[in-house]
Amino acid sequence: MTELSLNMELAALVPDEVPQTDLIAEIARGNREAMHSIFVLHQRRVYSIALNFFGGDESKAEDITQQVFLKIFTKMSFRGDSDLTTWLYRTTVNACIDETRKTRRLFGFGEWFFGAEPEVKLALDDKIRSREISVEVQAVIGSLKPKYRLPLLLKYVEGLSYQEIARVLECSVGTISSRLNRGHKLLAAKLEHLREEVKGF
Amino acid sequence: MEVKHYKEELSAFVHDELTDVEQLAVADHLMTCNECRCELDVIKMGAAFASELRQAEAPDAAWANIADTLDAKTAPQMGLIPEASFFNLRKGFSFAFALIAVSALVVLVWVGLFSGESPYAAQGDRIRVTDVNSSLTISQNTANEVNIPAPQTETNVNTSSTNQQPLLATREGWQVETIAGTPRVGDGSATAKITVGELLETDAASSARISVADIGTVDVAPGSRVKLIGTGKDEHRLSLEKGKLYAKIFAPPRLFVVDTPAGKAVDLGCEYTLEVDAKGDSILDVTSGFVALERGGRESIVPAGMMCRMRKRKGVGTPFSAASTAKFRNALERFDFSGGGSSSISEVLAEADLYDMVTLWHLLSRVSKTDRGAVFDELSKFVGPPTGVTREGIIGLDKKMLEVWREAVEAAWFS
Repeated sequence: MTELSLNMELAALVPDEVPQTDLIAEIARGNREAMHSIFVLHQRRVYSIALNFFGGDESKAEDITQQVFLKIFTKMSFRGDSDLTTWLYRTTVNACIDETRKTRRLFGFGEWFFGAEPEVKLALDDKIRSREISVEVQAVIGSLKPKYRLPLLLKYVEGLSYQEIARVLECSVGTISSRLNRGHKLLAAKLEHLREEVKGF
Repeated sequence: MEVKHYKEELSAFVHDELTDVEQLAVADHLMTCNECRCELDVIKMGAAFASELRQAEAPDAAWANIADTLDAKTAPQMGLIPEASFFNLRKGFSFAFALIAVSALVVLVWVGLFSGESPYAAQGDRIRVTDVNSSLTISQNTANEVNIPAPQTETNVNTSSTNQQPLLATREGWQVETIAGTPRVGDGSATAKITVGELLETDAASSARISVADIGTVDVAPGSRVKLIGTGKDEHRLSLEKGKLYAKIFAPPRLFVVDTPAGKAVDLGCEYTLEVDAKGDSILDVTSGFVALERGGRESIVPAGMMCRMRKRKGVGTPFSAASTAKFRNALERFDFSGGGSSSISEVLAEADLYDMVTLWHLLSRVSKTDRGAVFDELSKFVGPPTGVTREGIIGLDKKMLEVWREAVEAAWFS
């Protein structure tokens, strides 16, 4: 679905005359329709970040999506003192990192302490080429350290500016610039074998 | 003279995130610095790979699960009561609950001290405690009574020798008849009755028939597991955990419900077959009347002659006719469960025929706004929109118009 058609669909589902601040107020009153409207408006960005963060793991992405929205709907921890979208990104990022920590507690500390990044090798033979690149990129992104992974996701999945990314991740623009630089280089190194497949290389 | 390189700024340069002055300085430098140009190539290659990342839609099941969780929470926890209200109802509820608990405790102590024996079990009665999927049920001699206390299994408890007083709850049972082999109820072999909380299991060679109160029967196929969740004047409820059942019910709508791992089947007066596979996905085949499949606010109304899938992690699908083509069904399945979107809808519409009218009606409210017009046009070929139902209204999801058209589609389907 194109971005345009997505927006048109959302426009049909969320009446123009209802601003998000009103929806938030309705959610505080337990209005289920308002909750659904907020979900429809934002599910794509929450799910997409989580999906790419976990290297394409749909199950984890769905869990994170549910956690984030339940947090809004039940705990009302969004107070309106920041942009809802920024808050959502931040909550999603935190949920992803928490999930990673839980997994590490369960499956060993090696990567956490020594920064070892798992080798990602996929069986590509039977897949359509464009799809296989996308899947392999997703898997490699999922193997990067979160500090490199998150700026890449916010930049390329969500299209945020450096300043917006810095606001979400609560660090300086310079740090974001530096981490993106490092992230690009890691991607180029790990996906060198696909060099010929990418436009312009 | 030492040359200033710009390796750290190259990503920002590629993304046009530097100031105009900085952009120019980096561009100038790149014209003369081979080292930074090589580095730029690497950054650009990384950026090209990262550009392959895509957004994706959360599956329908995400909202369904959120809605289920919200349903499970009580109103006070949902933030319905303002924190700063003059009378804090939350504290009120807590106080009332504490008061009831203390009162109950006093009554229990009194009973323990002044009554010689349990009013519910004769001295020396053997109580069998059966652990059924983490919920404890106890079978006693008295069929309509159940105790819910001790976390033990297969234990003899001399009720007169302890001061523990069992909580009493009424419990009804349904008649079970063996069709073939040896079905098992609870932890024993087939009995004449299944009571609330008990499981009925059939192996590969056995099958059984349950009489659902006085409203119909459920035949349980070989290799199935069914649990009686509850029975009362407002609702009779089973859970099909795996396998297949055939239900034949004559009762007012919504009185009989079957839960599955992927969603619930609500009887609207009908006969149907419901099957749950090893993954927890299910398929419904209606042979008479209507069945509603529901999960998390999404509902599919399935009339006789139609089928419908539910997926454990994705929720309720769209009904389809038993006569629809394989191509139609595959495209519909991609739309329902694999994010097929507009391309799947195009295939569905290209394959649609008269007997797909019910499917098309359901799709009106499920497709994107941009596809809705095409679905309207296709459905109009088979069942013309009734008076007052307009294309614009349907595209805007006018509830009244959708309802009026649904009635017309239903009438056409059964004509």
